[in-house]
Amino acid sequence: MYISAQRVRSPSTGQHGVNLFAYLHGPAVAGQLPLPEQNPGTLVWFDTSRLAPPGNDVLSYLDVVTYDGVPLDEIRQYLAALKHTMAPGANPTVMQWGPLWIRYGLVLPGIPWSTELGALAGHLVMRLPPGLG
Amino acid sequence: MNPRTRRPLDSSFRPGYTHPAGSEVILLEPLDQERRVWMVELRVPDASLEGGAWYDHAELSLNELDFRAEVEEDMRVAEGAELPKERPHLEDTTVARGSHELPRKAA
Repeated sequence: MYISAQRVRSPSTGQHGVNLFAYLHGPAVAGQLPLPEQNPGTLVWFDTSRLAPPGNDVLSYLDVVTYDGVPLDEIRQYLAALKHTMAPGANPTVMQWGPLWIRYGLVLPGIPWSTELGALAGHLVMRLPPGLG
Repeated sequence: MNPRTRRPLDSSFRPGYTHPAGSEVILLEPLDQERRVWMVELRVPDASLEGGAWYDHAELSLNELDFRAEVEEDMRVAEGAELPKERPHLEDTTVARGSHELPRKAA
């Protein structure tokens, strides 16, 4: 499973919002998480109602990869607590935490690093559909 | 390696903060959803040890700390933030895609 949150801004109106995407992979080899650039999986759900693509500026993004069978409730627990664990490093910052591979990029600083991490994680926690996975 | 124990911690321990006694709390994994109990790692400074610290595992109940309320507040703050007018180097794509295919704009 690969889920992604992107904060995007329209270059024409200046409006910004967070779009979400979810992909599934099917059975995976234990110990080998399917990383997005190698195997993004199949897009099964998205919510771009905040600002329809294409052509928007991407201000920040949060990518999370795990196995399809990991319960969404468990993923939500990790994500809600993410800002207490992830520390600023390279940009993007990449870490493995429990069953999750996580990548957070703050492309255009403006919102504080930790606040934006919490906000993107919050959009995933609150808006992902219950049946995912 | 120190022996690892599972013992409950009192509410003065918090992730991301250093306990007055010097212990650093690192979240490891959620153990219980409803009671919000986490397995945590404690890093306890001890200058007499190689590496300068010893480590222990413990259970930490975070009933007084509502992670979801925190991220909701972050969402609210981010929505209202005044952003720089400059344009970043990434843009989204013609179809709904995750971050693995974000194109870079020409410099």
